[in-house]
Amino acid sequence: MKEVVEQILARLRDQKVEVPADEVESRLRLLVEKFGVPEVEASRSVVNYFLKEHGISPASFAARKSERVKVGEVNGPGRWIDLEAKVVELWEPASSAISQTGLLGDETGTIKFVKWTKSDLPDLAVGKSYFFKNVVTDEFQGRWSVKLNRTSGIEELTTEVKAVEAPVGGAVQEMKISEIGEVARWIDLRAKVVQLWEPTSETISQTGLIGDDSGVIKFVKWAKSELSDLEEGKSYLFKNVVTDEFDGRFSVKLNRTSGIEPLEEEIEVSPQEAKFSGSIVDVQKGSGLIKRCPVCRRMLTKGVCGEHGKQDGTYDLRIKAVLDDGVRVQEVLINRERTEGLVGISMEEAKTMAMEALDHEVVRGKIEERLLGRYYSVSGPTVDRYILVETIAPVSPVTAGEVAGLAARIKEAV
Amino acid sequence: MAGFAREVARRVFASELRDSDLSFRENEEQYAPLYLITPTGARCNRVLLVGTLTEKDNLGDDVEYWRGRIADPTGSIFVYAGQYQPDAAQALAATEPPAFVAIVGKPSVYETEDGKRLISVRAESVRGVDADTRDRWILETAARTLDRIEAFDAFAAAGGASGFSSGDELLKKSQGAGDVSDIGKALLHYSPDLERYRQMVVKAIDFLNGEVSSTGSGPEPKAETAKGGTAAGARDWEEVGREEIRRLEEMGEDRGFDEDEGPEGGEPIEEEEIFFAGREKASPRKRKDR
Repeated sequence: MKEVVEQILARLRDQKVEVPADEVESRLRLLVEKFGVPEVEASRSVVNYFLKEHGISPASFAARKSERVKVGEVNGPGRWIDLEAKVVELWEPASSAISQTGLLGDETGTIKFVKWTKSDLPDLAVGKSYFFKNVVTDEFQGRWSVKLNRTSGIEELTTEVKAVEAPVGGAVQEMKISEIGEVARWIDLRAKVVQLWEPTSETISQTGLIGDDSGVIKFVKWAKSELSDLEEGKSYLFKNVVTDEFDGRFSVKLNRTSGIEPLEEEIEVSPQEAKFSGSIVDVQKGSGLIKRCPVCRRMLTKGVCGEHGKQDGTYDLRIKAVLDDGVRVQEVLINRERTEGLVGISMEEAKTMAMEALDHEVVRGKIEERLLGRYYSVSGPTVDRYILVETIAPVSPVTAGEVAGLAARIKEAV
Repeated sequence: MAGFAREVARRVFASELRDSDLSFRENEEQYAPLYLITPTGARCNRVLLVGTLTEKDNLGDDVEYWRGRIADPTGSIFVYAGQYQPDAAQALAATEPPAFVAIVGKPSVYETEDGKRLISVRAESVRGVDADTRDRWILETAARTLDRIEAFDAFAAAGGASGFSSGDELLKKSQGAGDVSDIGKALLHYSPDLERYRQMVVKAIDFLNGEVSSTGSGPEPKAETAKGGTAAGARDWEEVGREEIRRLEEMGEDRGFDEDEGPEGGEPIEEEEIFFAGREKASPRKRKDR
């Protein structure tokens, strides 16, 4: 333990951080003994903890440098930037964790800011201009924002920064749903309400799916928007709605600046395409080598069709599986061709396997062995609660960017 | 079958699961699902764990009853599979630790005679996976846990269920986070130290930082590693698994992990009984002599 403490102190000294040895040891002991953390992990965690306490980002992020940008150039979350901007508005913070929040602006645009209570930064005044050093960008509801935390700095400027008006009703473009490919775009859509869902929160007045001839997309109409209600099956012109994204799926949000105009013509909706990424948590009964009724194609159970009685049946190979992303489950059906490609077993091989084992279930077992617990992205049209899989691919390995994104997020949590 | 919806497999780190002991049913009906509420407010009827199987034992006498220990960067938890989970038991029996495994299962809480509540997972399925899958799970579990911590914090800051001044904050997190009532239950039961769970997530992210930097994947990481485990891939993750075990052994993990667990593995058998007593009346009463 003593050795590890020494190592930690040395690493901290490299970063010009002096911490009493007993503080390091007690933190290390806490992690290793109380939390059962592997020592290597614990040691890294202790170093990072004290670096963070002293306002230094852990080594893995030491490389990053904040860059000077204009408000209008903010185009992604997790970027560390410097800004010269004017405080355009101050709003009431929604949580005691936030000391100040509101809108910053320069000549290129406006952006929401959040100043955390923990940051201990001086208070900002409306109308004053400041140099904001080392603030981090974030995204919420399809809009960018900047967060001011402990490592950020604020200097009041003597010269005023000219700020544009909030971009309400700016250059809004009419788009097709399939063209939506980025968040925070303000767009117009001509679309039909395909489905209305039960809102999950009082802050949502309506939610569901809208579609046009290019695809369908989820929409959320905020209660605060005070827009009139949409009817299922009716077509509308949605004016000035903003795009958003969650888990790789795009959606549009209708807020106070949005408009809804009923259309006389009916918008044609293409078949519903759905995408889902998650872990395969179940390969269900009825997967693998099955026999179908030659009359109705339904699966035979012990050689019997529910509709047509005893049948010889024809062989088929398919997968009925459940994908799960920790928030929702999605059932998928994978046909013979794609099953063969995915698990590398042809139907002939499957028949041989089943014959040798005297059991069709052996094929399902093999499929489960290949797929269970692994992460896949699927897409295809939906029928009832299933996605009929047209494409299926393993989710790419975790990238350094994904980890850094999450690391940036956790730094400001709580 | 309207109204029946498969329960989502929640993503919770071992360390948080181990802290959980609040379970409830939504109503008194015999088949009402049993839920576990974790300290950050995850409502779990089912969980997905992906981690390193560090040990396995057959605790049964006549009938095989397998116990495995699954470690993730935050800690470890026991997983059980017996005669009522034949596929999972068979798979667990056939897997040689150390190995990366994915477990889908149901959390269950067992109360000892002296009132301690122990948590384990009854496996529905056990399957070997690769390091990429394990890393993806850690990333996902870290994100879902952070969702819950943020929702919890917003809830606590607003002073309770009615206190959300801006639904936005709650909504943003609601995708992966517990329902408000679940957060309320967790707050009441655990009064959790959120910083501790935040640190748990930091730990997991630290671990992933090591993973993504050590695998030396270039700026454009290739997606094609999940192809049924090539020889090189398999060796890679086996080695990583062994490395983990070595670390665990080095630090004398018993102290860390087992302080709140019974002296022997016999007790969880009773837990199994308790579980089935409620569901399957004809469950054979099997008791291990001690």
